[in-house]
Amino acid sequence: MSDCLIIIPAHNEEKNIGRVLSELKKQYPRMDILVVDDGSVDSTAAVVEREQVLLISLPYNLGYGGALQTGYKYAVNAGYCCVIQFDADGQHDPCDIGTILELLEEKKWDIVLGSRFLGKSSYRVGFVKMFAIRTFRLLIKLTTGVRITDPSSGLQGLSYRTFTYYAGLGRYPSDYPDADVLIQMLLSGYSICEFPANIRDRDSGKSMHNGIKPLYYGLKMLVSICVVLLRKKSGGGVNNE
Amino acid sequence: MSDILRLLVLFCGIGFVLMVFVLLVKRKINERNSLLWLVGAFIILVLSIAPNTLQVLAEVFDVDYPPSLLFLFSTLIMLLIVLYQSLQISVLQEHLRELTQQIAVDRTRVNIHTKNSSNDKGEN
Repeated sequence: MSDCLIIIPAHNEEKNIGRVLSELKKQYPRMDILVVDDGSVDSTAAVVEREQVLLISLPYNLGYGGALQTGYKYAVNAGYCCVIQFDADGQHDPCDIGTILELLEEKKWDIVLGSRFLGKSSYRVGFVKMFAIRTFRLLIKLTTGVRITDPSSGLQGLSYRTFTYYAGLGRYPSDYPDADVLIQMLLSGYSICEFPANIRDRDSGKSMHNGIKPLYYGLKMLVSICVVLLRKKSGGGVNNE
Repeated sequence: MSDILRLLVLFCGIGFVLMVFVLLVKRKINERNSLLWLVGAFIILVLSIAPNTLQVLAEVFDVDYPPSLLFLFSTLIMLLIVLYQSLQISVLQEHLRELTQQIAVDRTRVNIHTKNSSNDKGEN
């Protein structure tokens, strides 16, 4: 068993997941990989089983956050020291995992975020999504004083104390963990750093933020951030003990 | 209030109480959740037996048209009940998610353990 676990939440990603897993296994043959199949109705689970990696099949769709939290619970039970979140759509570059490991293990950051907006990445974002990201950036800066360029990044590395906290009941949103979680963790003394990630275009499949979802997502996030700030004010922040 | 309407409201109140008790006996609703509905049924019964209660209350609150006071109170109570139900649904969703995750994680660990055990047996 390796010290670090790569967690890949997957929902209907049969076309991308095979290639993602082969790339990861080729570059990091000694690292454990866990795919959390979040109630897919296609053959995602069958593709994953062929790749001989760890697989948790959820009986129904829990949402992106719910799938990730399942992975954290597994990591806690199995005794891993750190976890890396990696998307199943093929947008993340396996080469970035080395950078995350270095920042987690040597620099001792609690949360490492791969940013799409730092460095030379050619990643393009639509107007509505960019507006939401800019708003969340501003809110994080105003509430914590920390500049985070990509609060929605799915490429993350988490230290032991971070993912053990996330694994607890009611401590991680089931749908879209985003700026609300980062604000909560920053206000509770967890350290967050970003590095320029290489983000590629997805080959196939649908983004989870499409249709009217961005509107719901933005509103829900604003409410969530208010709740995090109110909780902090009333003394109910993060408590690992 | 006419006698026919009083009788109708009285039957409604009794029917409501009976329905809640039938649900309790059949274990379709628990005691905790039934309390709010029993209180509602009790209010209907009081109003049917003593319709003047509403008149007295309307005078206390200085309301010209007593039924509007009834509508206000019933809307507020319904809001309270709906909010309470939302709260319960949220708690249940959280617990259901926790259980689902725990079962999925445990099942994976059991599968790994079984696979490892059969590999060991094969080697021996």
